[in-house]
Amino acid sequence: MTPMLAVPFGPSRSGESARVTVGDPSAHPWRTMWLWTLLLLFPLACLALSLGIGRLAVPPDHVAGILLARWLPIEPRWTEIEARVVEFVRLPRSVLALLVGASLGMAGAALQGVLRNPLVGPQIVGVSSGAAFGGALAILLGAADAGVMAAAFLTGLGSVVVVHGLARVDGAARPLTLVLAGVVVSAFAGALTSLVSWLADPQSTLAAIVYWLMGSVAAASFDEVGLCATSAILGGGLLLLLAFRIDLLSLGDADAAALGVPIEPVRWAVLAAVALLVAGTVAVAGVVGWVGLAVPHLARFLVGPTHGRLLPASALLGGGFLLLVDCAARTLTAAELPLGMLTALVGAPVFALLLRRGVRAGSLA
Amino acid sequence: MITVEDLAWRAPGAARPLFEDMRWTLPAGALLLLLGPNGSGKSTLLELVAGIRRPIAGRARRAADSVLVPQRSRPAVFTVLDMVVMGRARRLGWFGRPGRVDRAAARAHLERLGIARLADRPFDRLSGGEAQLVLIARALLAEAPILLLDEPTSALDLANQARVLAVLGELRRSGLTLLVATHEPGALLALASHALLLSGRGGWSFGPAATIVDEARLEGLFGTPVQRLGDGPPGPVCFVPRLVT
Repeated sequence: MTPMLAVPFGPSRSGESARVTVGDPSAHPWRTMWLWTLLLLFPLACLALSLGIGRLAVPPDHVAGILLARWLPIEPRWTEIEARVVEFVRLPRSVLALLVGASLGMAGAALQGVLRNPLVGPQIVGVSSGAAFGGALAILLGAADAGVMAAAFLTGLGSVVVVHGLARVDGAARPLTLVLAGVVVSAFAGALTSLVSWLADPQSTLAAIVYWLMGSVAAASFDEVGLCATSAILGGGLLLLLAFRIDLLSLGDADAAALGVPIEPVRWAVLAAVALLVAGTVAVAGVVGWVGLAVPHLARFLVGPTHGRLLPASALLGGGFLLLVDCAARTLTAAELPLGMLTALVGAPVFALLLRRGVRAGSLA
Repeated sequence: MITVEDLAWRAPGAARPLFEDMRWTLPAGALLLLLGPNGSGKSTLLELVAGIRRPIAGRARRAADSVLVPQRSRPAVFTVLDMVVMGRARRLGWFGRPGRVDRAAARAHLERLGIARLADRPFDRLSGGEAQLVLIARALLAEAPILLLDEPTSALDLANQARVLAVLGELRRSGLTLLVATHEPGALLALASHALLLSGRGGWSFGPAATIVDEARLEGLFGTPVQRLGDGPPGPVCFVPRLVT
C-alpha cells in the first residue's frame, strides 16, 4: 500500500483551502473564537440599538442606567418617560423579537437538516400556515395566549406531518416535491384560516385575528416573552440535544440505517420540536415568514454544516436579524410596518437565489 | 456468526421472489463473497442481514452487531472527520455528541486506512476511492464485529481498487466477519472464504469460495460465456466475459 500513498490525490492544498468552513475548529482555532464572539455580540448589539432608537431617542448611557438601576444603586439622570419606554415598551418587544427570530432560525436549520432540503423553512413546509390556522381558531374561540400556542402547536405539527407524508417516497422526499406539498397544505390551511376570519365577529375577534396574522411584536408583554421563551427553551433545547443525530439524518436515511441508528423516531422528535418552536412564535407574533429559510444558510456559510454549531449560530443570527427588522419596522415610517412584510422582502429573494442555484446544479428534482 | 434460515425476499410489486428458502451459516471471521447479476438482491440481502429490512419469510440472525458500508453516500458537505465520527452514532445514543476521544479514534482509523491527510477535506470533494475508504473508516468506528460492504470496489480505478482490497485483507486478518457484494469476484477471491451466488430468479448457492466460484457457475449465473484468466488463488484470478466474434 505504501507506494500508492505517495500518489497525490485531488487538487492542491492551496486550491481547496477556500472551501474549508470558517467554523471548523481543527483548522482555525483563533478565527473560530473570534467568529463566535462576534456571533454572540451581534444580537446584543442589536438589542442595545433597539432599546435606544425610536420616536423617543434614548442615549445609550441612559439605556444602560435604566436596565442596571434594578440591581445597582445608580443615580437616575434619565427622565421618567425614558425609563418607562425602555423598560415596559422596548424591552419586552426587543426580547420578544430576539426570541422569535432565534426560534425561527433554529427551526429552519433543523428542518433543512432532517428533510435534507435547502429550500425549506417553517413557512415552506406548512408549519407556519398550519399554526396560523390553529392560532386563529383559538382566538375565535376566545382562548388566551397559552391556548393559542397549544392550538398552533397541534395544527402546525399536523401540517408538517401531512406535508412530509405527501412528499415522501421510500423514506425520502425530493426537494421540489416537498415544496409543492407545502404549497398544497399551506393553501388548505390558508383557506381554513379565511373561513375562521369569515366566521369571526367583525366588531371584536376579526380585527384581533387579522392584526395577529400580519405578524408583529408591537404589543409585546412580559407574559408573551415568557411564553415564547418557554417554547424556545424546550424546542431549541431538544434540537441541541439531538444535534448529532440531525447531522446523521442530513446524510440520508440509508446512511443512518447503515450505521444502525433508528431514523423515524429522531425525525418525529425533530419535527415536534420544530412545531413547538414555530407555535411559540406564531402565538405571540403571528406568522413571520422567511427568517427560518434564509438565516440557516448564512449560518452554514459561517460555521459549517454540523448542527452542534449550526443550530446556535442560526439562533444568534436569527434573533439579531429579526430585531434589526423590527427596528426598521417601527422607525422607517411614521406608521408601523408589518414585520412579515419586511422579512419577506429579504427572504423571498434569498429563496429565489437558492432555487436558481439548485435548478442549475440539477439537485432539486 | 451469521445464520440465515428459510430467508425469502420479493421486491414490492414483483411476481417472483428474488430468493427464497435460503439457508446458510457463516462462521465468525469469514469473508463471504456475494455474487449475482444486477438486481439479483445482493444489496437487499446485506440490508436483511443488517436488520434494516424485514424479510417476507424466514430470518437472518447475527451473533454480533453489524454495520453496513453503503455503495455510495449522498454528497455531504461535512468534512471527512465529521463524516467518520458519525460511525459513533449508535454508541453515543440519542443525545450524545462525539467528544475528543471519538475524534481521536476517528483519526486513528483514518491513519490505519492511510488517509489521515484527508481529515479536514470536504467529503464531497473526494475521489471515489477516497470516499469508499472514508465510508469504511466510518463503519470501523462503530466497532461492530460484522462489516457488510456493498460493492466496495466498483467504479474505482486500479490504484484505488488495490487500496480498498488491501484494507479488506487487513480487516479479514484482524478477525472481522465480512460480507462483500461485488461484480468483480476475481480480485476478491484470494481473500474470500465463502461465496453466495444469487441468480435473481429465486435460486441461490452457498459454499467455499474456492470451489463454488468457477467459469461454469458464473456462466449460469450471468447467462453469458465467461473466461477465467490466471491460475490462482493464491495467485491473481480474473473472470472476463468471453466475446463471441
